[in-house]
Amino acid sequence: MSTHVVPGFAAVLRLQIHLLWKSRAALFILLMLPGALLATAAAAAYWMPGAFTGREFELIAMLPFVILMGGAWGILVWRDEPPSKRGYHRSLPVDVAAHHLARVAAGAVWLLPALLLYFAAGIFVTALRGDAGAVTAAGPTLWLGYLLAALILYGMTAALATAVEKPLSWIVWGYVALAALATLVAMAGTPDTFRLWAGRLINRPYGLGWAVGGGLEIARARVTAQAPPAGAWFPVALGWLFVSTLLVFAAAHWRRVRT
Amino acid sequence: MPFDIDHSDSRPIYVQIMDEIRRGIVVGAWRPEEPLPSVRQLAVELRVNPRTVQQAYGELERDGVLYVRRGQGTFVAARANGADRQALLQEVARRLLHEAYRHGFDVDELTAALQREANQPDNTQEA
Amino acid sequence: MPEPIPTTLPAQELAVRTRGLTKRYGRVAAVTGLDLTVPEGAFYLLLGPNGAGKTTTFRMLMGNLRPTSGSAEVAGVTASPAGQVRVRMGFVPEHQDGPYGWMRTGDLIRHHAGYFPAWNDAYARRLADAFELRPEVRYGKLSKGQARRVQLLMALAHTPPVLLLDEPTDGLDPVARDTVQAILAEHLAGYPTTVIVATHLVYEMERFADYVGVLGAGRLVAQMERATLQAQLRRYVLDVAEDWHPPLEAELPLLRQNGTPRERRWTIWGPEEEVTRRLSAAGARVRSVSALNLDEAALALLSRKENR
Repeated sequence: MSTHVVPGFAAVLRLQIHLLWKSRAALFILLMLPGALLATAAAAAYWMPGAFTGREFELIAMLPFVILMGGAWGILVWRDEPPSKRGYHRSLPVDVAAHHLARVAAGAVWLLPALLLYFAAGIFVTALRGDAGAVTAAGPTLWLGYLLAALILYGMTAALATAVEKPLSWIVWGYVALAALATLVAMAGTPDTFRLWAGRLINRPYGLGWAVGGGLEIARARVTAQAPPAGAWFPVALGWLFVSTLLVFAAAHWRRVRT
Repeated sequence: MPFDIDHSDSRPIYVQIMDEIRRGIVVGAWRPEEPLPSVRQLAVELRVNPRTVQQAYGELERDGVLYVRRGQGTFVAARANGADRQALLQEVARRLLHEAYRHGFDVDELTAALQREANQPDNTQEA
Repeated sequence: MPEPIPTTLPAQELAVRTRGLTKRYGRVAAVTGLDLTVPEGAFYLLLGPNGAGKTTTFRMLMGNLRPTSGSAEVAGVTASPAGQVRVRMGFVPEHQDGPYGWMRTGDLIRHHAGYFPAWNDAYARRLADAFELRPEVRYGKLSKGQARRVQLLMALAHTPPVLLLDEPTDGLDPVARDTVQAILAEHLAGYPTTVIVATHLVYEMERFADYVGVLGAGRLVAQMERATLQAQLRRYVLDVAEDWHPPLEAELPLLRQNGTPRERRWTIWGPEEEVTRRLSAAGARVRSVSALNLDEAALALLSRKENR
């Protein structure tokens, strides 16, 4: 009887990390973006050699892909396992909420090396193009900013995928709804309160946009020797990461027990 | 498989096991001092609950039909099987009588019919 | 007055116990006031037609479904969504509810093993041999029988004190069914286990049962030792006049009526001698008395509920 103890969280986390590897999802996220970047750079170098050297600080272009990588990965970690197909989990000697958290945490564990590989590929290509100086000028803020951006987006989409059957549908329809709302509001003459609150959610000093893009802005300011943008960026980014984590926790406990 | 269990039979399984072992001993399939399959072996072979086999073996041991030698297994007891043979015969008769009553025949009609059957040339028992 | 049909077992070491377990979905009651009592080491057959509430009961025992009222306790642990109760259980579901079809069988078993500190690797390998499992085949490509065997292995290999099997032989071919029975017998011989099997296919599991519970429309219609059921339920074939019926004072717990007007085949609960005496006293000629198999017994008990 004493051997029948519940496995610790670390053991479950290890199992989920291994599971993501076995399903080849981890391999996908590790290789996808670095691979795409290197392939594109190679193609560009071959077909457009003139455009290959001497350009301004190009690492900016990585941000949208970092965000996409984080967001897509949040959905990928739960591929083929929507809430309706998690019956197997419910037979396991682990609290379902803890199990959900372990899966999302395992995804984060794979996201870090994936990002590092992508950064390495980016630095490599930049150095080849003779822009190594810009990289050192940008400093660690750039990479930290990218890391936090990816994690924040990852947390949000992972929380969505943990809780709902069709996270992609939610994203698509959510986007459509937002666009429709924005259009409506614009047609009706944007009221000041709407602008105010939208701005608060997106822009400096506390907005999501600032949290996600702030690191890049600071790095760019350094490279182009301009005045750095005002507003503490790092704590805000951490704050949004915290929000993202809270969403993950809430989603993990959603429908913990069938009622 | 030493014998079969008839799951449509109304006797509880452990009774069937006991009856089959008794029958086996009476007809000489198992001789005194010969080992019987272990509880586990018999349970697996018959595809039944080991506790059922345990129950059968237990009762047979109490009746002195088998004995257990610690660490070596279960063996057929050496004893006169005259009483067993008689008990088995009574059991067969009981079942036959039950069948007869079910069809509306009484014991005298049954006995006469039995005699007729026994006298049929193709029914004489091989000695 | 013959004893009423028992629905609770006398107090003893219970591996599984529910008290007034109820689950309602709006107005529909899936399970009502269930007092399940499963003694330690018992092989308990939970019988009932589809939709009687067996799977719902299992879900509540595993802590996956919150009851509307009542409680459940398994191996001394209160059923809850936390892992404690399920670590002491092995579960084979009715349908393959999603273990990863893309995973190779060997990998899936290793993955599953990681969750159970009590996993017995040597036993798992023996079972894999006995089941003739090919570890390189992907789980999704297995036949129903093979997949069921894998699930059985996963449930047995950590030798849980309580085993829940939901329709373990449903849809299996005779060979697969036979293998499941052999492995179960072997496991029971080697490890003390309390088993609850929920099934409507009585015939295939009755050979193992020593306790029986009959579930009808969410209620426990009867719960007792198999031996008691075997001893107390009989089919009586009666020779009577066409318009005969016993007087009310006879108080015969009649469960089922069959046969023709002059040859009645009645299933009655009670000690054989007592019932025969009352029938004779009421003017019937008892031509024969026979015991019922578990299938017929369950049917009779369930019919009685409808007659009420």
